[in-house]
Amino acid sequence: MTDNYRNKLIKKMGEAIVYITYTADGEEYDRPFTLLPDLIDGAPDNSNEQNVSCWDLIDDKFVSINRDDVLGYTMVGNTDDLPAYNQQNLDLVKEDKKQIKELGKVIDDNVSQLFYRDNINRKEFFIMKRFGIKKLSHLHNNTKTALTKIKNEWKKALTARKQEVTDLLNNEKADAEKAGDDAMVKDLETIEKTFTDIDVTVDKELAELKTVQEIFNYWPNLLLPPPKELLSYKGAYTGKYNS
Amino acid sequence: MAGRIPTSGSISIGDAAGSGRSLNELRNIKRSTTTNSQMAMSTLRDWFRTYVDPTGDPSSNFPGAGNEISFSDFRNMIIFGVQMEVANESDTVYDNSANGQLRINGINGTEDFTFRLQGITDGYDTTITPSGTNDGTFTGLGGNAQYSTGYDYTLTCTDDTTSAAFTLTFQIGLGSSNAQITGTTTAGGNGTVYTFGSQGTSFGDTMVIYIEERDTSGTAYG
Repeated sequence: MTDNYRNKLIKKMGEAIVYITYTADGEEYDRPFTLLPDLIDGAPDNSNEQNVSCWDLIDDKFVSINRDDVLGYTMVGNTDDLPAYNQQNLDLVKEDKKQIKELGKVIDDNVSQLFYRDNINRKEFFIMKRFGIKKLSHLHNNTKTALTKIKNEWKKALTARKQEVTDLLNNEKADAEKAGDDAMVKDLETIEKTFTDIDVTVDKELAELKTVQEIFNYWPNLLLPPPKELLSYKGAYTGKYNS
Repeated sequence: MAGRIPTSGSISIGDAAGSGRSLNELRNIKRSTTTNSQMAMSTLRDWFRTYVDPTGDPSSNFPGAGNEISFSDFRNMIIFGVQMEVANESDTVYDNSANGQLRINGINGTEDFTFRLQGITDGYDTTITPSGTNDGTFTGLGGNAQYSTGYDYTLTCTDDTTSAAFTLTFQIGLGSSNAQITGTTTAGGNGTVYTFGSQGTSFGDTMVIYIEERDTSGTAYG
């Protein structure tokens, strides 16, 4: 980073909220910072020219970034109207903070930092929250802990779905009995037996699944469709990155 | 290398005034020119008028017409360009993944750039200021059908030191096709379409476009 660029960045932070792209621990981050007087507590110390001192809008504190780690900065929104731009981005930051706080209650990792890492799909945090997985590495590395927790929830959903179908069949059967339709009753009893046996099949198939992705892709045809909520995880989890 | 004639100090046609002060050296970015070769001022005047002016004349100092020309007319003249790669939006049933990306970095000029990408109607508006010639990446491109393939984004590329700027029109592709850049009056030739090579949902071939029209005997665009 040149002196000119460092000065430009510091000046821009004095006018607006910016997302600084920087590297740390071999990873790339895009994180919101500012030096807007109304949003900071105290004064930045930019006397050390090797660093850039800026206000971390998520952790509410000054941080110092080594100038050699800064790759650039981004502004998201209409920069022709800076007051409106800043308000819009402040609202986004507040929403992020709220989510990070909630996720931090159930996840052991440093969510505040990981939330802004470039190669992480944020939806994975919500998967962790939903299934009670405390570390991202468990999700990414398909650990036994992660697989067991997701399989347990999958089994619960499968059982609930099976109960829905069974209740539906029972109602149909009661109607058929009332109408004296013996053939229909017999057919429904045959279908009912298939659903009784499905537990064994599901347990066996679930036990064979070795990755998070395989579980998210799994749903037996007889119990289609899966709940929308579970279906949404199929696309949310990439399984692509290492943590 | 630098791509601007300084606003003060000596200037030469060849290498007499030193690196970064030569008209031939600047011209060499868009058309192969030996720095210490002899060159008529009238040749340079006509070439810069056609392939650099007016977008590359942020001081509005260069004469747009007439025969008279002097060294001082070339002050602050700039040539810069961009290198771009695209990762297309995933091709799905509803074409609403909004996961296309455009990666860009500036070349030449004063190596002090800002890039702004604006959707024509969807409100997408992101400005990236990389440090030097680092990459910047626009993400979240594409989206609900009408903003997907065939949808125009305006890409504004600015050299921050001089405020020289050119625009291009960008379209993201779907799956393995359709991403393209269209030139404007300020870069790439007005209406000229350049298609990205090796398209897919990962970054493919690099496309290079410089300020103003391409010299067909010089550096290729696309």
